[in-house]
Amino acid sequence: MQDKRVVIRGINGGIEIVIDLTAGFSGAIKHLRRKLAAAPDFFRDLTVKVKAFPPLGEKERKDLDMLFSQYGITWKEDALQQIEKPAPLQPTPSGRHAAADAETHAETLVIYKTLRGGQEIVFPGTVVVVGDVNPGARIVADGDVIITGACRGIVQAGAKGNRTARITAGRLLASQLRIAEVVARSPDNASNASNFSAAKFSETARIAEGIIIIEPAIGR
Amino acid sequence: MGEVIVVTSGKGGVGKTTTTANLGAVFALLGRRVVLVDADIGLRNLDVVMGLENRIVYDLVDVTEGNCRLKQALIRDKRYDTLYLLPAAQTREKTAVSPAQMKQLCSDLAQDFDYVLIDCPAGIEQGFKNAIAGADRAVVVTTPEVSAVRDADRVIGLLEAEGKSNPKLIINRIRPHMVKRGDMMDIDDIIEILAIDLIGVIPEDEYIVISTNRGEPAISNPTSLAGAAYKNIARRFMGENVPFLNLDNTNGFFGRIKKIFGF
Repeated sequence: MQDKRVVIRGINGGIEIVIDLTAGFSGAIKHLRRKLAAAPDFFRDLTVKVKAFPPLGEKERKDLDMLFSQYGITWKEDALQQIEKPAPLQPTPSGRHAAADAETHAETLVIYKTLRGGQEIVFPGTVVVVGDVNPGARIVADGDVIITGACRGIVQAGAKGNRTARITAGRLLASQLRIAEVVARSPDNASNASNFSAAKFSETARIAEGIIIIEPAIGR
Repeated sequence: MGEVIVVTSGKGGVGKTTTTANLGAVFALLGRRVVLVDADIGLRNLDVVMGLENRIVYDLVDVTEGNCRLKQALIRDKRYDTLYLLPAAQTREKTAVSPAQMKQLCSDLAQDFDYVLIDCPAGIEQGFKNAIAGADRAVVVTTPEVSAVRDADRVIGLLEAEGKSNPKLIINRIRPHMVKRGDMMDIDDIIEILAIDLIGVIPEDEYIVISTNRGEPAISNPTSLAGAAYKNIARRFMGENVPFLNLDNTNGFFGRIKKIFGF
């Protein structure tokens, strides 16, 4: 059973962290710390939205401030409306809704490993990979795709036609990117055949004026 | 209870069989009881590399089909008393054996031997599935080529899916002068993609061709640089902390094996 106390997901224009405090603050922050530590550079200089339920107290805000500042993250608190709560936040009487909940709340899939050649993820929502996506691996997501490590595989975001979907990676080195129906490939003269760019910072790909553009993910 | 180690790569021709033969020979040289299992049914060649082809009476498929006892099919090596070979069948296909049978075979062999080394066929089909079925650990061999690394990555993914996590990496046939010129992938490039533990780097060595044709493992020649690298890898497998060879300095043999790295 995957732990859903801390869910990191891509939303339009940024990253959102949803924290479930119903089981206590210390457990949740431990999870958050582990997730951040798994990709220390990925979040650097980003602004994240934090949604907590129940709402954060004064001391809890200070603790989060300290944790985020270690990673150079600026954060904003955002009120979490009931309706946006991920499935596990709702007390299910007997667990019989679990399957149905997974269906209706399948908006983010977090994968804590490197996707290797030949492995494929097809998901009707946003996909977050804490690790690399190696050459020959494929991700097809109806939502955004966020990769904390290097992306060298083939990634498609907005597979059902969402042209506002984005692909963000710690190092965006994919041989091919697809957003909705638009395809971009790395230049033929790239040195090792899989080099969109050799940038040392996180980058985001999105559609602008009908073509895929890649820009630094910082501050967006 | 011995350890079952599969030597695999995905791509063909990167040195699985050479690695199996040499690692087995070093384990035996260090006094361990070792059996090499050729899982490449239909394309056997570990027997040729070991120089034992004329001694084959029974093979792996004879064992799994019950035509002979396991001990009858084992061939003792010419040079190393504690080294044995279980040859593959040449006239059969990969489907002649099932993963369950291989699992049984491996656990039977592990009763008698310290190390069971399985030479995996190229590819990721039935032969691969058979070869990894009974393995406790895996060694992935690759060469500094994009295609070999790509296949190694695929194989590591399949090993992980089968619960054989944390395989060890051997990078074979590296040419230091080409790496230096930037014409060959270097070790760091490969490790960055594969992200598994490196257990050894083997330099390109013409002597491998000679030793393979003669049917004697390269480790029996003290001047073979590849042989020296295999000796180190085997010792690392046994838990020793052996520094990596310095492949940059090519001034004479003693210069070449001068060890500088501290890990």
